[in-house]
Amino acid sequence: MSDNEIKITDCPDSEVLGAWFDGELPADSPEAKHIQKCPLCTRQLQLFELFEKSLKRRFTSAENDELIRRITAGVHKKLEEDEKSNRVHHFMSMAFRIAAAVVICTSAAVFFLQDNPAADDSGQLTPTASLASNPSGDFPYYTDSQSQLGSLTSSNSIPLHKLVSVDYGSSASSPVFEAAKQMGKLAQSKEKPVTIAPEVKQVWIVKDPADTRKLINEILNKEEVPQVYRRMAMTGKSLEMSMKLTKMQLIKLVRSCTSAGYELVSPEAPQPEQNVFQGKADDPVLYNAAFIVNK
Amino acid sequence: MISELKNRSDQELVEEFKEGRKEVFDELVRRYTQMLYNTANGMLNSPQDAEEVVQDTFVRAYKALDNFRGDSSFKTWINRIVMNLSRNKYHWNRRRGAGVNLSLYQPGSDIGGDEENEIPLPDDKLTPDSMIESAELEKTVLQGFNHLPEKLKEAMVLRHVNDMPYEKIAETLDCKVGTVKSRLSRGRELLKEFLASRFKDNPVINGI
Repeated sequence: MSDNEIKITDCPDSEVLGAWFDGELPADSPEAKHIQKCPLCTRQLQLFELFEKSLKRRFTSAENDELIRRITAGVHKKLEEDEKSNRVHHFMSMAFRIAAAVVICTSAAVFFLQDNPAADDSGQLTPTASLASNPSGDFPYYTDSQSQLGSLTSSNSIPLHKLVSVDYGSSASSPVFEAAKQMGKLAQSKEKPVTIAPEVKQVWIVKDPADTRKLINEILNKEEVPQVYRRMAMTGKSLEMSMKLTKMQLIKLVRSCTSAGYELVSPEAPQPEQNVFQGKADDPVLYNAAFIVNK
Repeated sequence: MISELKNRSDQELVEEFKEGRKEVFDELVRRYTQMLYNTANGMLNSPQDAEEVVQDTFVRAYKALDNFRGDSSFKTWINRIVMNLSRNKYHWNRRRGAGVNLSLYQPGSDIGGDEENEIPLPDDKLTPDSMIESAELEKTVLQGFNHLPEKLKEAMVLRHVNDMPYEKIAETLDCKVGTVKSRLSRGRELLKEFLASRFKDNPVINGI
Protein backbone atom coordinates (compact mmCIF):
# COMPACT_ATOMS: atom_id res chain seq x y z
CA MET A 1 0.00 0.00 0.00
CA SER A 2 1.40 3.39 -0.97
CA ASP A 3 1.73 6.28 1.47
CA ASN A 4 -1.09 8.09 -0.26
CA GLU A 5 -3.61 5.36 0.40
CA ILE A 6 -5.92 5.90 3.30
CA LYS A 7 -6.91 3.13 5.64
CA ILE A 8 -10.27 3.64 7.34
CA THR A 9 -8.96 1.72 10.31
CA ASP A 10 -6.46 4.56 10.83
CA CYS A 11 -9.21 7.10 11.44
CA PRO A 12 -8.45 9.01 14.64
CA ASP A 13 -10.95 9.05 17.46
CA SER A 14 -13.47 11.86 17.63
CA GLU A 15 -11.44 13.73 20.25
CA VAL A 16 -8.51 14.07 17.83
CA LEU A 17 -10.87 14.83 14.97
CA GLY A 18 -12.50 17.50 17.10
CA ALA A 19 -9.10 18.98 17.94
CA TRP A 20 -8.35 19.17 14.21
CA PHE A 21 -11.68 20.84 13.58
CA ASP A 22 -11.02 23.33 16.36
CA GLY A 23 -7.58 24.14 15.00
CA GLU A 24 -5.83 22.61 17.98
CA LEU A 25 -4.01 19.82 16.13
CA PRO A 26 -0.69 20.56 14.39
CA ALA A 27 -1.14 20.37 10.62
CA ASP A 28 1.94 18.21 10.19
CA SER A 29 0.87 15.52 12.64
CA PRO A 30 0.15 12.03 11.18
CA GLU A 31 -3.48 12.30 12.28
CA ALA A 32 -3.86 15.62 10.49
CA LYS A 33 -2.43 14.12 7.31
CA HIS A 34 -4.90 11.27 7.51
CA ILE A 35 -7.89 13.48 8.23
CA GLN A 36 -7.24 15.68 5.21
CA LYS A 37 -7.41 12.71 2.88
CA CYS A 38 -10.00 10.47 4.50
CA PRO A 39 -13.58 10.75 3.16
CA LEU A 40 -15.04 9.31 6.35
CA CYS A 41 -13.28 11.88 8.50
CA THR A 42 -14.38 14.59 6.07
CA ARG A 43 -17.99 13.53 6.60
CA GLN A 44 -17.53 13.76 10.35
CA LEU A 45 -16.03 17.21 9.94
CA GLN A 46 -19.04 18.25 7.90
CA LEU A 47 -21.22 17.24 10.77
CA PHE A 48 -19.06 19.20 13.22
CA GLU A 49 -19.37 22.17 10.93
CA LEU A 50 -23.12 21.81 11.00
CA PHE A 51 -23.05 21.84 14.81
CA GLU A 52 -20.89 24.93 14.89
CA LYS A 53 -22.92 26.78 12.27
CA SER A 54 -26.17 25.97 14.03
CA LEU A 55 -24.91 27.19 17.39
CA LYS A 56 -23.32 30.29 15.94
CA ARG A 57 -26.40 31.23 13.99
CA ARG A 58 -28.64 30.73 17.02
CA PHE A 59 -26.54 32.27 19.76
CA THR A 60 -24.10 34.68 18.15
CA SER A 61 -25.27 38.09 17.18
CA ALA A 62 -23.38 41.11 16.01
CA GLU A 63 -22.73 43.95 18.43
CA ASN A 64 -26.08 45.39 19.27
CA ASP A 65 -26.06 49.01 20.47
CA GLU A 66 -29.56 48.74 21.85
CA LEU A 67 -28.60 45.72 23.96
CA ILE A 68 -25.48 47.50 25.24
CA ARG A 69 -27.55 50.55 26.14
CA ARG A 70 -30.09 48.44 28.01
CA ILE A 71 -27.44 46.49 29.88
CA THR A 72 -25.52 49.63 30.82
CA ALA A 73 -28.69 51.31 32.10
CA GLY A 74 -29.66 48.14 33.97
CA VAL A 75 -26.26 47.89 35.62
CA HIS A 76 -26.38 51.52 36.74
CA LYS A 77 -29.87 51.05 38.13
CA LYS A 78 -28.94 47.91 40.04
CA LEU A 79 -25.84 49.52 41.48
CA GLU A 80 -27.86 52.54 42.65
CA GLU A 81 -30.49 50.27 44.20
CA ASP A 82 -27.78 48.27 45.94
CA GLU A 83 -26.24 51.44 47.29
CA LYS A 84 -29.59 52.65 48.59
CA SER A 85 -30.31 49.32 50.19
CA ASN A 86 -26.83 49.33 51.75
CA ARG A 87 -27.52 52.75 53.22
CA VAL A 88 -30.82 51.58 54.69
CA HIS A 89 -29.15 48.46 55.98
CA HIS A 90 -26.37 50.52 57.55
CA PHE A 91 -28.91 52.84 59.15
CA MET A 92 -30.94 49.91 60.48
CA SER A 93 -27.82 48.28 61.77
CA MET A 94 -26.80 51.47 63.61
CA ALA A 95 -30.31 51.90 65.00
CA PHE A 96 -30.30 48.31 66.18
CA ARG A 97 -26.94 48.76 67.86
CA ILE A 98 -28.09 51.89 69.62
CA ALA A 99 -31.29 50.16 70.73
CA ALA A 100 -29.27 47.18 71.93
CA ALA A 101 -26.94 49.47 73.85
CA VAL A 102 -29.91 51.19 75.49
CA VAL A 103 -31.41 47.84 76.44
CA ILE A 104 -28.11 46.59 77.85
CA CYS A 105 -27.57 49.76 79.85
CA THR A 106 -31.11 49.64 81.19
CA SER A 107 -30.74 45.98 82.05
CA ALA A 108 -27.44 46.67 83.75
CA ALA A 109 -29.01 49.49 85.76
CA VAL A 110 -31.94 47.30 86.80
CA PHE A 111 -29.59 44.47 87.60
CA PHE A 112 -27.40 46.75 89.70
CA LEU A 113 -30.36 48.15 91.59
CA GLN A 114 -31.78 44.71 92.23
CA ASP A 115 -28.46 43.41 93.46
CA ASN A 116 -28.12 46.26 95.91
CA PRO A 117 -30.49 45.62 98.73
CA ALA A 118 -29.34 48.93 100.14
CA ALA A 119 -32.14 50.32 98.04
CA ASP A 120 -34.31 49.37 100.97
CA ASP A 121 -35.34 52.51 102.88
CA SER A 122 -33.83 51.26 106.08
CA GLY A 123 -30.52 50.55 104.43
CA GLN A 124 -30.70 47.07 105.93
CA LEU A 125 -31.28 43.75 104.37
CA THR A 126 -34.76 42.58 105.12
CA PRO A 127 -35.03 38.86 104.80
CA THR A 128 -38.56 37.59 104.82
CA ALA A 129 -40.22 35.59 107.53
CA SER A 130 -39.82 32.43 105.55
CA LEU A 131 -36.09 32.92 105.56
CA ALA A 132 -36.07 33.27 109.30
CA SER A 133 -38.04 30.11 109.59
CA ASN A 134 -35.65 28.26 107.43
CA PRO A 135 -32.24 28.95 108.87
CA SER A 136 -30.77 25.62 107.88
CA GLY A 137 -30.85 26.93 104.32
CA ASP A 138 -29.74 24.37 101.78
CA PHE A 139 -29.38 27.20 99.30
CA PRO A 140 -26.69 29.25 97.61
CA TYR A 141 -25.74 32.22 99.76
CA TYR A 142 -25.27 35.86 99.24
CA THR A 143 -24.06 38.81 101.22
CA ASP A 144 -23.57 42.39 100.26
CA SER A 145 -20.81 42.83 102.77
CA GLN A 146 -17.43 42.34 101.18
CA SER A 147 -15.88 41.77 104.55
CA GLN A 148 -18.02 38.73 105.12
CA LEU A 149 -17.21 37.10 101.85
CA GLY A 150 -14.59 34.86 103.30
CA SER A 151 -16.75 33.47 106.06
CA LEU A 152 -20.19 32.92 104.70
CA THR A 153 -22.33 30.44 106.51
CA SER A 154 -25.99 29.73 106.76
CA SER A 155 -26.13 31.98 109.77
CA ASN A 156 -24.39 35.09 108.49
CA SER A 157 -25.59 35.29 104.93
CA ILE A 158 -28.80 35.04 102.99
CA PRO A 159 -30.00 32.32 100.69
CA LEU A 160 -29.87 33.49 97.14
CA HIS A 161 -33.47 32.81 96.32
CA LYS A 162 -34.64 34.91 99.26
CA LEU A 163 -32.50 37.88 98.60
CA VAL A 164 -33.79 39.92 95.76
CA SER A 165 -36.61 42.34 96.10
CA VAL A 166 -39.22 40.48 94.15
CA ASP A 167 -42.02 38.18 95.10
CA TYR A 168 -40.53 34.83 95.90
CA GLY A 169 -43.76 33.19 96.86
CA SER A 170 -43.18 30.57 94.22
CA SER A 171 -39.48 30.31 94.70
CA ALA A 172 -39.70 26.96 96.38
CA SER A 173 -40.28 25.42 92.99
CA SER A 174 -37.94 27.70 91.07
CA PRO A 175 -35.04 26.05 89.27
CA VAL A 176 -32.46 27.72 91.44
CA PHE A 177 -34.10 26.43 94.56
CA GLU A 178 -34.26 22.88 93.26
CA ALA A 179 -30.81 23.03 91.85
CA ALA A 180 -29.45 24.51 95.01
CA LYS A 181 -30.89 21.65 96.97
CA GLN A 182 -29.37 19.20 94.59
CA MET A 183 -26.05 20.83 94.93
CA GLY A 184 -25.83 18.99 98.19
CA LYS A 185 -23.97 20.44 101.05
CA LEU A 186 -23.95 24.01 99.92
CA ALA A 187 -25.14 25.32 103.20
CA GLN A 188 -22.12 23.91 104.87
CA SER A 189 -19.70 25.19 102.25
CA LYS A 190 -17.88 28.43 102.71
CA GLU A 191 -17.83 29.39 99.07
CA LYS A 192 -17.90 33.00 98.13
CA PRO A 193 -20.93 33.99 96.09
CA VAL A 194 -19.90 34.58 92.54
CA THR A 195 -21.27 37.24 90.25
CA ILE A 196 -22.28 36.21 86.78
CA ALA A 197 -21.93 39.19 84.48
CA PRO A 198 -24.84 40.19 82.24
CA GLU A 199 -22.64 39.24 79.30
CA VAL A 200 -20.39 36.20 79.60
CA LYS A 201 -17.72 35.18 77.14
CA GLN A 202 -16.07 31.81 77.42
CA VAL A 203 -13.75 29.67 75.35
CA TRP A 204 -13.88 25.89 75.42
CA ILE A 205 -11.58 23.27 74.00
CA VAL A 206 -13.41 20.39 72.41
CA LYS A 207 -12.56 17.42 70.24
CA ASP A 208 -15.32 17.72 67.67
CA PRO A 209 -17.21 21.00 67.19
CA ALA A 210 -19.95 19.24 65.21
CA ASP A 211 -20.65 16.84 68.07
CA THR A 212 -20.48 19.74 70.48
CA ARG A 213 -23.11 21.58 68.52
CA LYS A 214 -25.37 18.55 68.69
CA LEU A 215 -24.88 18.08 72.41
CA ILE A 216 -25.42 21.73 73.21
CA ASN A 217 -28.59 21.78 71.22
CA GLU A 218 -29.79 18.78 73.20
CA ILE A 219 -29.03 20.54 76.47
CA LEU A 220 -30.74 23.72 75.32
CA ASN A 221 -33.77 21.79 74.15
CA LYS A 222 -33.97 20.09 77.50
CA GLU A 223 -33.76 23.47 79.18
CA GLU A 224 -36.41 24.77 76.80
CA VAL A 225 -34.30 27.63 75.55
CA PRO A 226 -36.23 29.04 72.58
CA GLN A 227 -34.61 28.66 69.17
CA VAL A 228 -34.82 32.39 68.57
CA TYR A 229 -32.44 32.96 71.45
CA ARG A 230 -29.76 30.73 69.93
CA ARG A 231 -27.21 31.67 67.31
CA MET A 232 -24.65 29.07 66.32
CA ALA A 233 -22.11 29.14 63.54
CA MET A 234 -19.47 26.67 62.47
CA THR A 235 -16.41 28.55 61.30
CA GLY A 236 -13.65 26.28 60.12
CA LYS A 237 -12.81 24.04 63.02
CA SER A 238 -14.62 25.99 65.66
CA LEU A 239 -18.16 26.47 66.82
CA GLU A 240 -19.25 29.92 67.87
CA MET A 241 -22.46 30.64 69.63
CA SER A 242 -24.33 33.50 71.13
CA MET A 243 -27.47 33.00 73.12
CA LYS A 244 -29.78 34.47 75.70
CA LEU A 245 -30.04 32.30 78.78
CA THR A 246 -31.03 32.60 82.38
CA LYS A 247 -28.29 32.30 84.97
CA MET A 248 -29.55 28.89 85.97
CA GLN A 249 -29.58 27.66 82.40
CA LEU A 250 -26.05 28.91 81.93
CA ILE A 251 -24.82 27.19 85.09
CA LYS A 252 -26.35 23.93 83.94
CA LEU A 253 -24.92 24.31 80.48
CA VAL A 254 -21.43 24.90 81.85
CA ARG A 255 -21.69 21.85 84.08
CA SER A 256 -23.05 19.67 81.31
CA CYS A 257 -20.22 20.73 79.02
CA THR A 258 -17.68 19.90 81.68
CA SER A 259 -19.32 16.52 82.23
CA ALA A 260 -19.05 15.92 78.50
CA GLY A 261 -15.29 16.34 78.77
CA TYR A 262 -14.97 19.85 77.31
CA GLU A 263 -12.26 21.97 78.82
CA LEU A 264 -13.19 25.49 79.88
CA VAL A 265 -10.21 27.79 79.40
CA SER A 266 -11.79 31.12 80.35
CA PRO A 267 -11.73 32.23 83.98
CA GLU A 268 -15.04 34.05 83.73
CA ALA A 269 -17.91 32.86 85.95
CA PRO A 270 -19.72 30.56 86.05
CA GLN A 271 -17.11 27.86 86.43
CA PRO A 272 -18.23 24.24 86.76
CA GLU A 273 -17.00 23.93 90.32
CA GLN A 274 -18.76 27.07 91.57
CA ASN A 275 -21.93 26.57 93.57
CA VAL A 276 -22.86 29.92 95.06
CA PHE A 277 -24.02 32.76 92.88
CA GLN A 278 -25.47 36.22 93.25
CA GLY A 279 -28.77 37.22 91.77
CA LYS A 280 -31.82 35.35 90.62
CA ALA A 281 -32.05 32.10 88.78
CA ASP A 282 -34.08 33.81 86.07
CA ASP A 283 -31.70 36.71 85.53
CA PRO A 284 -30.91 37.03 81.83
CA VAL A 285 -27.38 36.47 80.60
CA LEU A 286 -26.00 36.99 77.14
CA TYR A 287 -23.67 34.04 76.63
CA ASN A 288 -21.04 34.12 73.92
CA ALA A 289 -18.87 31.04 73.61
CA ALA A 290 -16.32 29.64 71.23
CA PHE A 291 -15.69 25.90 71.10
CA ILE A 292 -12.36 25.31 69.45
CA VAL A 293 -10.23 22.34 68.64
CA ASN A 294 -6.81 22.52 70.20
CA LYS A 295 -4.32 20.93 67.81
CA MET B 1 -13.64 60.64 26.16
CA ILE B 2 -15.33 57.47 24.89
CA SER B 3 -13.05 57.17 21.87
CA GLU B 4 -10.11 57.77 24.17
CA LEU B 5 -11.20 54.86 26.36
CA LYS B 6 -11.66 52.60 23.37
CA ASN B 7 -7.92 52.59 22.81
CA ARG B 8 -7.11 51.47 26.34
CA SER B 9 -6.46 47.84 27.14
CA ASP B 10 -8.63 46.00 29.64
CA GLN B 11 -5.74 46.03 32.07
CA GLU B 12 -5.42 49.82 31.84
CA LEU B 13 -9.14 50.30 32.36
CA VAL B 14 -9.10 48.02 35.39
CA GLU B 15 -6.19 49.97 36.88
CA GLU B 16 -8.01 53.25 36.33
CA PHE B 17 -11.14 51.84 37.91
CA LYS B 18 -9.13 50.80 40.94
CA GLU B 19 -7.71 54.29 41.17
CA GLY B 20 -11.21 55.67 41.52
CA ARG B 21 -12.30 56.47 37.96
CA LYS B 22 -15.39 54.30 38.20
CA GLU B 23 -16.85 55.69 34.98
CA VAL B 24 -14.38 53.66 32.91
CA PHE B 25 -16.43 50.61 33.83
CA ASP B 26 -18.95 51.60 31.16
CA GLU B 27 -16.32 50.96 28.53
CA LEU B 28 -15.79 47.44 29.88
CA VAL B 29 -19.56 46.93 29.75
CA ARG B 30 -19.61 48.12 26.16
CA ARG B 31 -16.72 45.86 25.26
CA TYR B 32 -18.04 42.63 26.75
CA THR B 33 -21.83 42.86 26.70
CA GLN B 34 -22.26 41.05 23.42
CA MET B 35 -19.82 38.26 24.23
CA LEU B 36 -21.33 37.63 27.65
CA TYR B 37 -24.82 37.81 26.25
CA ASN B 38 -23.99 35.18 23.64
CA THR B 39 -22.52 32.93 26.30
CA ALA B 40 -25.48 33.29 28.64
CA ASN B 41 -27.96 32.88 25.84
CA GLY B 42 -26.18 29.73 24.69
CA MET B 43 -26.39 28.31 28.19
CA LEU B 44 -29.95 29.36 28.96
CA ASN B 45 -31.52 29.54 25.53
CA SER B 46 -33.54 32.52 26.69
CA PRO B 47 -32.77 36.12 25.65
CA GLN B 48 -34.55 37.55 28.71
CA ASP B 49 -32.68 35.35 31.15
CA ALA B 50 -29.44 36.01 29.32
CA GLU B 51 -29.91 39.77 29.62
CA GLU B 52 -30.63 39.50 33.32
CA VAL B 53 -27.59 37.32 33.88
CA VAL B 54 -25.34 39.72 31.96
CA GLN B 55 -26.54 42.64 34.08
CA ASP B 56 -25.88 40.70 37.25
CA THR B 57 -22.47 39.72 35.94
CA PHE B 58 -21.45 43.34 35.48
CA VAL B 59 -22.89 44.34 38.86
CA ARG B 60 -20.87 41.58 40.50
CA ALA B 61 -17.77 42.51 38.54
CA TYR B 62 -18.17 46.18 39.50
CA LYS B 63 -18.29 45.29 43.17
CA ALA B 64 -15.38 42.87 43.00
CA LEU B 65 -13.13 44.68 40.57
CA ASP B 66 -11.19 46.46 43.30
CA ASN B 67 -10.08 43.04 44.52
CA PHE B 68 -9.33 41.69 41.05
CA ARG B 69 -5.71 40.58 41.22
CA GLY B 70 -5.19 40.02 37.55
CA ASP B 71 -4.13 36.36 37.87
CA SER B 72 -6.13 35.79 34.71
CA SER B 73 -7.22 38.28 32.07
CA PHE B 74 -10.29 40.41 32.69
CA LYS B 75 -12.00 38.60 29.84
CA THR B 76 -11.48 35.18 31.40
CA TRP B 77 -12.47 36.49 34.80
CA ILE B 78 -15.73 38.02 33.64
CA ASN B 79 -16.47 34.95 31.52
CA ARG B 80 -16.11 32.86 34.64
CA ILE B 81 -18.62 35.10 36.43
CA VAL B 82 -21.16 34.88 33.63
CA MET B 83 -20.71 31.13 33.48
CA ASN B 84 -21.32 30.80 37.24
CA LEU B 85 -24.38 33.01 37.15
CA SER B 86 -25.73 31.20 34.10
CA ARG B 87 -25.29 27.94 35.96
CA ASN B 88 -27.21 29.35 38.94
CA LYS B 89 -29.96 30.63 36.71
CA TYR B 90 -30.11 27.31 34.86
CA HIS B 91 -30.56 25.39 38.11
CA TRP B 92 -33.04 27.94 39.40
CA ASN B 93 -35.09 27.53 36.23
CA ARG B 94 -34.95 23.78 36.58
CA ARG B 95 -36.13 23.89 40.17
CA ARG B 96 -39.01 26.09 39.10
CA GLY B 97 -39.81 23.60 36.36
CA ALA B 98 -39.14 26.05 33.57
CA GLY B 99 -37.18 24.69 30.62
CA VAL B 100 -37.15 21.19 32.06
CA ASN B 101 -34.15 19.44 30.68
CA LEU B 102 -34.08 15.80 29.83
CA SER B 103 -30.66 14.35 29.59
CA LEU B 104 -29.41 12.77 26.42
CA TYR B 105 -27.89 10.20 28.71
CA GLN B 106 -31.30 8.83 29.56
CA PRO B 107 -31.72 5.78 27.38
CA GLY B 108 -34.90 5.71 25.38
CA SER B 109 -36.04 9.06 26.68
CA ASP B 110 -38.30 10.75 24.23
CA ILE B 111 -37.07 14.27 24.39
CA GLY B 112 -39.78 16.81 24.16
CA GLY B 113 -43.46 16.20 23.99
CA ASP B 114 -44.61 19.76 23.88
CA GLU B 115 -44.91 21.62 20.67
CA GLU B 116 -41.65 23.44 21.05
CA ASN B 117 -39.72 20.25 21.47
CA GLU B 118 -41.44 18.37 18.71
CA ILE B 119 -38.89 16.88 16.38
CA PRO B 120 -39.58 17.63 12.76
CA LEU B 121 -39.26 14.77 10.34
CA PRO B 122 -36.67 15.19 7.63
CA ASP B 123 -37.89 16.21 4.24
CA ASP B 124 -37.54 13.19 1.95
CA LYS B 125 -37.13 15.38 -1.09
CA LEU B 126 -33.92 16.88 0.14
CA THR B 127 -30.76 15.34 -1.15
CA PRO B 128 -28.25 14.31 1.47
CA ASP B 129 -25.99 17.24 0.64
CA SER B 130 -28.68 19.85 0.82
CA MET B 131 -29.88 18.34 4.07
CA ILE B 132 -26.64 19.27 5.75
CA GLU B 133 -27.61 22.86 5.22
CA SER B 134 -31.28 22.42 5.85
CA ALA B 135 -33.07 24.39 8.48
CA GLU B 136 -34.74 21.26 9.74
CA LEU B 137 -31.44 19.71 10.56
CA GLU B 138 -30.22 22.85 12.23
CA LYS B 139 -33.33 23.01 14.34
CA THR B 140 -32.79 19.43 15.42
CA VAL B 141 -29.18 20.16 16.30
CA LEU B 142 -30.35 22.97 18.57
CA GLN B 143 -32.93 20.74 20.20
CA GLY B 144 -30.25 18.15 20.88
CA PHE B 145 -27.89 20.82 22.13
CA ASN B 146 -30.42 22.18 24.61
CA HIS B 147 -30.67 18.75 26.16
CA LEU B 148 -26.98 18.16 26.52
CA PRO B 149 -25.58 17.80 30.03
CA GLU B 150 -24.62 21.18 31.46
CA LYS B 151 -20.85 20.72 31.48
CA LEU B 152 -20.75 19.65 27.85
CA LYS B 153 -22.90 22.61 26.90
CA GLU B 154 -20.56 24.99 28.69
CA ALA B 155 -17.55 23.76 26.76
CA MET B 156 -19.43 23.86 23.46
CA VAL B 157 -20.76 27.37 24.02
CA LEU B 158 -17.31 28.73 24.81
CA ARG B 159 -15.80 26.96 21.82
CA HIS B 160 -18.45 27.38 19.13
CA VAL B 161 -20.19 30.56 20.20
CA ASN B 162 -17.24 32.47 21.65
CA ASP B 163 -14.48 30.90 19.54
CA MET B 164 -12.30 30.42 22.59
CA PRO B 165 -9.17 28.28 22.31
CA TYR B 166 -8.99 25.19 24.52
CA GLU B 167 -6.61 26.82 26.96
CA LYS B 168 -8.94 29.74 27.66
CA ILE B 169 -11.92 27.42 27.98
CA ALA B 170 -9.98 25.40 30.53
CA GLU B 171 -9.13 28.57 32.45
CA THR B 172 -12.73 29.76 32.39
CA LEU B 173 -14.17 26.42 33.47
CA ASP B 174 -11.31 25.82 35.89
CA CYS B 175 -10.41 22.44 34.47
CA LYS B 176 -7.65 20.83 32.41
CA VAL B 177 -7.26 21.18 28.65
CA GLY B 178 -7.72 17.42 28.36
CA THR B 179 -11.06 17.71 30.10
CA VAL B 180 -12.15 20.42 27.67
CA LYS B 181 -11.17 18.16 24.76
CA SER B 182 -13.13 15.23 26.07
CA ARG B 183 -16.17 17.34 26.94
CA LEU B 184 -16.28 18.79 23.45
CA SER B 185 -15.83 15.37 21.95
CA ARG B 186 -18.55 13.87 24.15
CA GLY B 187 -20.89 16.73 23.30
CA ARG B 188 -20.42 16.19 19.59
CA GLU B 189 -20.85 12.45 19.94
CA LEU B 190 -24.12 12.90 21.80
CA LEU B 191 -25.36 15.37 19.22
CA LYS B 192 -24.44 12.93 16.49
CA GLU B 193 -26.31 10.13 18.25
CA PHE B 194 -29.29 12.39 18.71
CA LEU B 195 -29.35 13.30 15.04
CA ALA B 196 -28.92 9.68 14.05
CA SER B 197 -31.90 8.68 16.17
CA ARG B 198 -34.03 11.39 14.56
CA PHE B 199 -32.92 10.88 11.00
CA LYS B 200 -32.68 7.12 10.90
CA ASP B 201 -32.86 6.82 7.14
CA ASN B 202 -30.41 9.53 6.33
CA PRO B 203 -27.17 8.05 4.99
CA VAL B 204 -25.18 11.21 5.59
CA ILE B 205 -25.78 11.07 9.28
CA ASN B 206 -26.05 7.37 9.82
CA GLY B 207 -23.26 6.46 7.45
CA ILE B 208 -20.65 8.05 9.66
